[in-house]
Amino acid sequence: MPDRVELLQGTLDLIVLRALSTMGPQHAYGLAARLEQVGEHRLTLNQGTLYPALVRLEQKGWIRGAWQRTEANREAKYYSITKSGTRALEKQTERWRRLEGLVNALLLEKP
Amino acid sequence: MANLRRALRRIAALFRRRAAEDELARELAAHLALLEDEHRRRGLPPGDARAAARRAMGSVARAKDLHRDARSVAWLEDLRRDVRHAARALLRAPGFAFLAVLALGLGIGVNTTFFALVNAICLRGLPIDSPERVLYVSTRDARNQQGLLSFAEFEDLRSRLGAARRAPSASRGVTTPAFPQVGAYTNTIVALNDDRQPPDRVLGAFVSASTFELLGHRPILGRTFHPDEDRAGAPSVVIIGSEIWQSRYASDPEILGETVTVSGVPATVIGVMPRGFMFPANADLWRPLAAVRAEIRESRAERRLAVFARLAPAATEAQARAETTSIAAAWARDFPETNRDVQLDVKPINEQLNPSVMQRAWIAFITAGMLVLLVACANVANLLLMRGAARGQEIAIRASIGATRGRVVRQLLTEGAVLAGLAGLAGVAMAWAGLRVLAGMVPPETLPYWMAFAIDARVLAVTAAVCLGCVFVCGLPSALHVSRVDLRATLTEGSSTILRMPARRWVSALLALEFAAALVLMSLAVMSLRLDAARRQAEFQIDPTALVTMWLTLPADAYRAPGTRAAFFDRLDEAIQATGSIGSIGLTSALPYGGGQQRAVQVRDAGAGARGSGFDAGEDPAPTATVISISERYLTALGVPLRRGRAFTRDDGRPGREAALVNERFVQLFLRGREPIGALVRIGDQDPWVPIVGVATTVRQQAVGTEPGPVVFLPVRASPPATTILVARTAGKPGDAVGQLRRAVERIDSNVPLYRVMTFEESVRNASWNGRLSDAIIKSIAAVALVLATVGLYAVTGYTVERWRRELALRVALGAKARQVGWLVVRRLLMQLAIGLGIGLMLAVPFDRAFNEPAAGGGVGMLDPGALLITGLGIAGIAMIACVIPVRRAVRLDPLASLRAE
Repeated sequence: MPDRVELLQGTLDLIVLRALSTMGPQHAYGLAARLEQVGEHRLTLNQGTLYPALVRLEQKGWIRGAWQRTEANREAKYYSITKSGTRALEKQTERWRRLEGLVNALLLEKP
Repeated sequence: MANLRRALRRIAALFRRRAAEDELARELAAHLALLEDEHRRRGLPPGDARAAARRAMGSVARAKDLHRDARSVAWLEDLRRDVRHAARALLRAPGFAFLAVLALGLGIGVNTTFFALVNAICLRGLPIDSPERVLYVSTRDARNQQGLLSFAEFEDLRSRLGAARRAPSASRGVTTPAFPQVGAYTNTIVALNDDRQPPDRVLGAFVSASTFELLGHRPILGRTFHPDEDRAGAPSVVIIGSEIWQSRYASDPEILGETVTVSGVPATVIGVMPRGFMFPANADLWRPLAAVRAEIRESRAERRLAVFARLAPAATEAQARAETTSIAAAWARDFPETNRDVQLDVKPINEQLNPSVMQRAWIAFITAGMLVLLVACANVANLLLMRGAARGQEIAIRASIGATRGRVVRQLLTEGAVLAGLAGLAGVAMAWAGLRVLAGMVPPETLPYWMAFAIDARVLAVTAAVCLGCVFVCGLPSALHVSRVDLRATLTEGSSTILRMPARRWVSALLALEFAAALVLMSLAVMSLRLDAARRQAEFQIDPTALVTMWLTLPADAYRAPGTRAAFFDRLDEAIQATGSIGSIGLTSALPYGGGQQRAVQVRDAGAGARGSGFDAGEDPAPTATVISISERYLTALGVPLRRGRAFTRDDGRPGREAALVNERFVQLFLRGREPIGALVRIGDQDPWVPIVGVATTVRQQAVGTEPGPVVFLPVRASPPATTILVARTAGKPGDAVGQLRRAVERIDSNVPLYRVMTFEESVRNASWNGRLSDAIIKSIAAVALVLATVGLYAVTGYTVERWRRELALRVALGAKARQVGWLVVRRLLMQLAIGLGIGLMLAVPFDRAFNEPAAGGGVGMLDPGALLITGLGIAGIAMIACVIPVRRAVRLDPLASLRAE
């Protein structure tokens, strides 16, 4: 798979927040599947690496996990975004946009 | 905010690890199940679906690791794991752990004990508010001798500074004075009496009204003194301490307002001070300055007051010094007779009341403690090296599965830390017990109240720092050494090759020094034991059976004139005679071992004229002797026989009937073969010449010194002391005699307290506390040194055997006998021992010179060959016993197992 990319440091948290905010509560597998799908399979995402991001976000109080049953009656831990998570997402998105603009300006600037 | 929350949760996660791990495992299992479902839905058979799920998931272990890192504080988690690992490793080698904790614990214990002593005596200081701002004001005379202040000087100092305070910068441009508050005290011993109990003798102080506020202490009941109560004519009042309040008055609050008798003078109790306030030194009762005798209050020359002052908030010590200097100059102008060459000096009160830690003795003391600790550390380092040799393979395996060098060092240091922590606990426990024993040797009222031998926060902090230091000093050499493993060599060749010890020579040298130190210290201890024994044989020993001593103090105000005191003793004598049944009772100003005044004496022949300082006393520049006052039956009561002449009679000491007794030592030193009876002795150079009427057997009077000193006894009537000790050789039960004596004293004067009632043995023990304390310290250090040297030898032997394993096994395989193999190891041991003891012998020579004053008759020194031999053999024996285990291990080597293992 030639054109797979690694996630930039620090972006996984933002992506997880975004996914939870648009799709509602998700379990880790659902999140992983969603990321692969949205990334059109170009993301190298080891599903195990989601867990540190989840615990980080949970400890910051931005997401909350709760055990529920799936449609297939399997148990799974569903994560949902909290109010402060939504606020953080807005702030981080804003920051990301500015950063993106800056990086674009710096890298793509015509000499 | 979110980050703070996260940090807190990460730390919290340390404590709910099990729950978090379970939750994570459950979550990962659920995740795998979902993945598996998915794959099965896509049509894979169950087994393949599971495999595919696992592939997609990646390493579960790695996910867990990442989760742990994110969830918790990684290094703390590691630390926790290391500690558990270390604890388990130590439990697997309990012998090693015990020795290491013992050695290090002893080192830390000695160090903590010593520091606690230094802390108590030099560092802790008065328990008052910001003591560094309280300055002690003293005079310095023309010869630069420090002295107290007179009342007039104190009042003047106070009024000058007080006046300046009331009129700040008014006329002379004086800003606020350096001292807004000035206080003064003088110690006293009082007889406290009332209707409730027999009289007590109490340590007390006359203090200025400002004292309590200045020091920052309030009464728990009532009030402190008013400023008016500093001045003559104020109503007679007294403040008592909580100790008396509890023991004498059963904490009765009704005591306020009650009138008690203080040294014969009625006074109203106005306050009770809290426990822990005994300023200036173990005082339990305070009288206002008004209660001091008028002639002292009014004289400018009688310097009796200790003066202290609190610095104003903005003032400095230099400013205070400048102010007092100018006041002293003004006094020198205004009162030339008394103040011409008198300077004023200020320094922080703790510097005045506590010995400086910078004195040579204290520095030596602390250094000794540190040295013991260092030796202990060296031993533990050796033990760890020895253990490292046995653990080479474990370390190599850890390294080969990916542990970095730093990680291995950290693991080994953690082990060191666990050891040091345990040793620290053991050391503090040892110090606590040791301090209790030492404190028990100090008689009450000897040291000021704030010098309690206790382990306080400062001592604990220092001990903690010491433990931390130990971790590095003990652990680092072996950790660095062991971690520098050559993986391949270790795993293929076996453990013994990993430790090439460049420092082995150092280890041997250190061990030799340890044995040298052990020999020197043990011989010191043995010498002190032998000195005691020799003393017991050579010196006359008083038979302590049924011998009781008790003290009485005549109240200073009522018995100021010597005649009144003599009259009291006459009446007491009659009363004792009248009872008859008690046994023999004597009076003295100082008991044997109890010291007594050392005075310059002059001696001359009966016939000779007033020939200056006596006959051929040329070699002794100023002969001194202990001078004590005794009653006529004192020597009989003690059972001290007279050698020559007669004892005192009832008339001796009356005007015109002067007489003195001396001891044999006195005759030996100052009369050199001349006839003592009838020779004349003079105390100082003012007193009259007194004829010697008898010579008593020499009894030790001063507790220190290798030989008992010369003593001059004067009749109690000639110079009746205010504080006297009664010695009673009781016929019946000692308790009955004490009761009878108490009643006899009470009948004569109910205000005279009888106190410190104890057996003669107890009073001798109390009197010689100083020597006993240092003796106990030397003996315990000697024991510690021996234990440490033994542990050191054990470690080195064990290490040697471990290193030689291969070679020894080969020898055994080739037919060497157990005896031969054993000898190989023991030979090395003996070598170490011999070198160490040899160095010890050489060190003993200068030590002997330093500790042993050339004694005339004692002849007990450290260099006694027999004693040294026995001490050396004893040390060698103990050392050999300690090495039995490693040597046996060497002898019982199973060559096959040993060779195959490597």
